[in-house]
Amino acid sequence: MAIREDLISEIDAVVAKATTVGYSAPSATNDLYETYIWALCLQAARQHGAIVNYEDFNETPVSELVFRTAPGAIYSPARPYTHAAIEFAGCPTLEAHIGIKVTGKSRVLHECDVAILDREEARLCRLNEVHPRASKVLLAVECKFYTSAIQLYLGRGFLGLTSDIHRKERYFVTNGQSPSVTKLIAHHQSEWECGVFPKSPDADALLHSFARAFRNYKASF
Amino acid sequence: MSEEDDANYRRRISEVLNRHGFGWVIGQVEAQIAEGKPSSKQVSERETLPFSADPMFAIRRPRSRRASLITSEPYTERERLEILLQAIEAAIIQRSTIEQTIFDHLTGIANIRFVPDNPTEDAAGAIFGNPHALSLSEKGTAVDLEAEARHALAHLRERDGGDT
Repeated sequence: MAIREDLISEIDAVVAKATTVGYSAPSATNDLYETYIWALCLQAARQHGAIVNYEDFNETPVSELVFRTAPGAIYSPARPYTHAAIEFAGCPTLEAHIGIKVTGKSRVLHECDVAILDREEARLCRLNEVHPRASKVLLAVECKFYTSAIQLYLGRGFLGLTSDIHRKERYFVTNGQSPSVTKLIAHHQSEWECGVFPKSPDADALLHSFARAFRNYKASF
Repeated sequence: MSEEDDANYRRRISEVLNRHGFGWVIGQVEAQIAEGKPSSKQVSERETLPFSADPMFAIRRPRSRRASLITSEPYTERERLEILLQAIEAAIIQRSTIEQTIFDHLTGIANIRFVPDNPTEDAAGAIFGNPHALSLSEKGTAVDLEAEARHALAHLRERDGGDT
């Protein structure tokens, strides 16, 4: 049977349009995915009664958000990068960042796609130009946006990461499905959520996991 | 729909993606296809009895046990085409829904900019990423693109009355 050219043309038109609005840049899609997961964290915090404000390096409120395109230092004043301040009544304030480096137990630097940490630690780091300690990071997320099944080495990398930045509330989150990777991560009792994208059931599951982390944080004070 | 037709559709759609700068999607698809389908296989393993010089101790027959081991099978052409279509779904439809949803979660925000950390390295996009922006005012474009992509993929899957 011959190929139906009308179907190829239809796909061609859609892909061409996607290119004109910037969808062909994989790094931009990754940046957006991290922002989406960061926004889910904030939603989970709000569900537990948090007041969330967006701020820049100087803790000045902002109305336009600015994020990194690659992991960097929390203390970098080069750009007015945004973080969210999360305030729960009766608890120390937290900050939610995208793409920052943290120091592991081995004193090696690691990259966290999304990190929620103690504000006092964040201030200390900004003041002294040092990276936050992993022990002060309440929640960290490794975000992977892939158009096909993610490769096993990414799961192995995450396990290496969690062995150095603690295992509790460290999440491996991806939009796709990969039975091999989830088996590997689950076997090592680390947290993961696959198939996370808007309106997916897995996005709800992740939201609940984040909400549980905030609930436990509140209960600890 | 024959295997050859599926292979031809995959080739033609891959060409379209490459032509429009989505070669990275093809790369990820090819990586999954190359890895193959993991599946379980029942195998029989024979017990190895220790050697004994005394024939009286070696009269028992080695026992055979069943074990489930993992193997990799190649994907069929139909499955390969579906992996490609799912990749387009992720690259365009999921990306579009993410754009739409971010602003739903971040109330009061209408613009997001993504800029490299090091101002002198803007050109080195491969390492530091390229600047880009997201604006609430462009939400309509994302909605349209999502709808058009859904239609195009549905038509491909329903081609000649069949499903992939």
